[in-house]
Parts: sequence; structure tokens; C-alpha cells
Amino acid sequence: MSRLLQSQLKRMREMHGSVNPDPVWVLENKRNMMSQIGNTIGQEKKQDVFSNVQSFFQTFVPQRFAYALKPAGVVFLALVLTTSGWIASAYAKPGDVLWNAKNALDNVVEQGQLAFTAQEDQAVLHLKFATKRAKVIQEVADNTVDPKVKTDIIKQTVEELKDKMDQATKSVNNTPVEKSKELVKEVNNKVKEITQSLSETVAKVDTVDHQLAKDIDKSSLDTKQKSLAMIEVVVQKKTDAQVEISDEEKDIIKEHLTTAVGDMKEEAVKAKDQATGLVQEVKNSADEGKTVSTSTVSVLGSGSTASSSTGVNSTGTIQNNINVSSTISVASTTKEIVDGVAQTASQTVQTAETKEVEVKTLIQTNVLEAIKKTQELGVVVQQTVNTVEKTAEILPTIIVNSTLGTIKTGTSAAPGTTFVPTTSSTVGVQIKTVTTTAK
Amino acid sequence: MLLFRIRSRKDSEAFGQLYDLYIQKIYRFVFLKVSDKEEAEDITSDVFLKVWNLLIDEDKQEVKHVSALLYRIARNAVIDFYRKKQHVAKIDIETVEEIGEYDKHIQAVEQGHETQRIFEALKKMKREYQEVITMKYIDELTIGEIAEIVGKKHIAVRVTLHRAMKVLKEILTEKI
Repeated sequence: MSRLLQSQLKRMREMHGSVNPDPVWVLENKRNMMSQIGNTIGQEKKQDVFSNVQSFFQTFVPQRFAYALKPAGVVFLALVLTTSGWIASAYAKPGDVLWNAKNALDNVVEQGQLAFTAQEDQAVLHLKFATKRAKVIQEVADNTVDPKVKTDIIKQTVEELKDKMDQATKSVNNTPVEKSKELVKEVNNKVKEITQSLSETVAKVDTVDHQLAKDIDKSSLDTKQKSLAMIEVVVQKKTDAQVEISDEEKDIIKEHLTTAVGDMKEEAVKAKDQATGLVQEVKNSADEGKTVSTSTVSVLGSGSTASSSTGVNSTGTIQNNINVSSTISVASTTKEIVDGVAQTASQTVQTAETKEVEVKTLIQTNVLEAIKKTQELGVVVQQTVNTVEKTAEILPTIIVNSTLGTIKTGTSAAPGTTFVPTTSSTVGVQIKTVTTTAK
Repeated sequence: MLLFRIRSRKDSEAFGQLYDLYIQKIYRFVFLKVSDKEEAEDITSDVFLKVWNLLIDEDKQEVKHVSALLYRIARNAVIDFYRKKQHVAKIDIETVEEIGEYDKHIQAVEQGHETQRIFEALKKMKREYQEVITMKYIDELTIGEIAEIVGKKHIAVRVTLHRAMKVLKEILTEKI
């Protein structure tokens, strides 16, 4: 009955004229209706692409799905933006808008790498990051970006390089004795790469920005010092554990120390040459009639004053003889000071030559002592370089000030403050122009 | 695709195709409720115009099934019609006469008589039952589409349909 009824109901569709519309009316109605709707679309504007896309989604994507898909859509969009941003920033060049984003992303990636690396292997990873910074410095120096931007980026990256080297030095303590050979090898190789990159960068930057070149040079020296500290920790740990240093390790350390001492000697020679130049400069100024031997030393004294007593004591230990005076009571002349700085530089060169021989000898018998000697030389060279640089920085000021008149010495004046003469000097000099402080 | 063409491009041709597809069904649906040929034609015509305006509306509302939209609007139009006219559904004698005239050749056979009998039985049923039987067995809509049109859940539609068929059988049995 039910099936029969269903089929009879279906047949009602075919009942012409009863429940179905009149075919004539169907056609007539269609014509009228099309005419009516034709009038409405005539006034409509053509839809844009966005509306078409919107219509497409509204037609084919059910609304509840659309609601459900919204969070997924947001996540997808975020992923697309992040990925595209990452890809775009990966190829960003210095000065590009995405350069900072690239660096930030690199830092995040590095942190991630560190998080997934065992503590005993982190020193090598930090060295890798430091090497990367050195390459960035080189890349930026090669780039034809705005000089100010270039300087800023290089300075920032130099700081990052120092930071990475610091972290590498700290992480060495976590490296077990068994992995010391690999670590020493890595230190030697990476530091070679870093110093090579920095040295090439200095050569390019020096002609454009001398100060920046100096900063990079110092960073190179700092990297060498830290690498020595790293090797010292490794050797010390082996000594404490009474584990013999293998010949291969010795060879690597020897190579590293020889290179370091050689580089330091080179730095000392450069400092000596610069100091000699300063002596010549003072001499030339005197020849031109400028007063260079008056109490202008007070200006220099407020910053740094180098005495000429640097030397090596009888036990072979290098004394930190570069005296820094914060008083103005040092009675000396500009000429004497510059001569003293030149002498210090000259002695540092001699010390470096002596140390080079000593280190080569000690490496066979006492590796730890050889490292220490190299480190001490590094400190002296760095101080000498700093002194020569600071002298060079303030020298023009000294010469200019000296032409203004006599300045009373013995008056306490902090750097950055106005020097007020207590006696009848003709001119007051603002000391803030020479607020350098020897380290 | 027709729906997309209408909504995005206001394509009147597409709407013409939609009209051809549904005119018979909607007319039949309306006619079974109003029992008047002219009223059914007017209402059906209005339904299609309303659907057009709704589809091209800027504040596009979701349209899952265009058939469901057509039936829903047709259903509301019929409700409005009764509300205005306070019309009581009954078989119009003229319509029956028209049916007789149009389908003389069909009614001549037994099958035609039986169909006519079912039609009359349907008219006696309550509107809800009439609707579901028409939509399910005459227009062959799915349960999902019917549920969307009448605003009920699938299971409720199945139950209503079951009861409606039972009532229809009873009416037909009584007649016999």
C-alpha cells in the first residue's frame, strides 16, 4: 500500500493541468519576470574581484564551516606572513627594512639551536655564532649601503661578536676533558676565520672610517685574547685531571700561540709606528712656532698620562707600567709625554719579540705557562695600543690649547667639567674635549 | 554554479535556468496549499521575484540549497496569503472542473482517477502533513532539504512524514 501510494504521488507530477502550472503561463511569466529583473541589473555596477571571491565563498562554503575555518584561516595567514617574511628577511641586505628582522630571526634560531645542544658542546656552537658575526661584519663592509648605516651595523655586530666570544669562553668550562682535542681544534680554526675576516674588513674600512677600523682591530685582538683564555681552561682541566696533552693538541696549541704572538707583535709594531708619527707631529708643531711644552699637560693629565717606565722585570714578567693619572699634578711637557708613549711602544715591540721566543720554547715543556705568557703579552700590547691611540686623539687639542696660554696645574677638575683656572691664566679650557680615560 | 553566477554577476540568464528548473515544483507546492490556479500563479511569480531580490542583495545571506530557499519563501508566501485573505483551504469546485477539463484523457483511465483521489485526500490533511508529503514524494526533495525548509530537525521531518503517510492512507481507506 505504502509503495503504491508513493508511486501514485510521484505520478501527480505528470498530471497536466491539475497540480501543474499551465505551460503558457510558465513561458509568459518567465518573459515578464526576466523583463523585470533585467531592469534591476541594468543599474547595477560591475562587481570587483574581491566581491567575486566573497560571493564564491558565500556560495560554496557553508557559513558554519566559514566560522569554524576562521581561526584556521588566521593561523594559515599568520604562517603565510611569517614564512614569506622569513624568506624575504633571509635575503635581506644591510640597510634593508628586513635586515633587523633577519638578525632577530637569526638570534631566535641560535637560541633554538642552543636549547637543543648539550652544554658540553655549546662552546663550539658559540664559536660558530661568533664566526658568523665576523662574516656579517665583512659582508656589511663590502656592501654599498649608506656609510652611517654601515657603521652602525658593524659596531653592533662587533659587540655581538664580543658577546658570543664571551659566551664561548664561559661554555668551555662545561666541555669534558675527552672533548678537549676537538675543542682546541675548533678554537684554532674559528679564531683563524674570525681574525681573517676582521683583518680584511679593517683593510677596507680604514680608508673610509679610521675609528671604525680601530674598533674592529680591537675586536680582533679581543677575540685572540679570549681564544687564549679558552685554550688555557682546556689545558688547565687536563692538567688537573692529570691527562697528558697529546702531540696533536700540542701542535694545534703551538700553531695558535705562534699566530697569536705574531699578530700581537704586528699590533705592537703598528702602535710603535703610530707613536713615532706622533713624535714627529709634535716636533713639526714646535717647528711651526706653536708652544707645545707649557703646562698644557694638565689637559692631558685629566685624561691619561703615559709614563716611560714600561719594561720587563728580571723575572720576565711584563709589568703593567702604563700609568694612568687622574690628577692634573703631573708636571711634564707634551713632548715628553709623546716621547714616553713612543718609548713604551718601542719597548712593547721588544717585549713581543722576546716573548715570541719564550713561548716557542715553553710550548714544548710547559704549555700552560706558554699560554699565560702569550696572554700577558696580549694585555701589554692592548694597553700600548690604547695609550698610543688616546695620545693621538688628544694631541691636536694639546697643541691648540697650548697656543691659548698658560693653564694653572694642580687644580682638580673632573673630565667633562669646565676647567676654572685658580691663578691668573689667560684662557680657561673646557676639559670635556679630552675626556678620554685610559683603561 | 547557477547560484554563484546569479550572486556574483547578477546573471539573469542563470536565473532563467533556475526558473525553468523549479517553476513546476514551486507552483505545485503552492497550488496544493491555496487550491486556486490564479492565486498559485501570482504567489509563484512573487516567490521567484523575491528569490531574485534576495540573491542579488548586497548583504548576502547564506544560501545552502537554492531549492530550500525557494520552498521556504513559497511557504512563507502561502502563510502570508492565508493571513491576508483569512482563506480556508478547500477544494475549489472550479479548479476541480478545470482539472476535469485539462485531464480528460488521463482521468479516463483508472490511474488518473486514483491520482485525483489522492489529490483530494491531500487537501483534507493538515498543512504540515501536506507539505512534507508533497515535498518528499511529489517533488522528491531530500529529508535534509525538507528539514531546512520547515525549520525542523531531520528526525522530526521523518516522524512527521511517517505520520502524514499514515493519515493519508486512513483518508484514502475511509473513502473506499
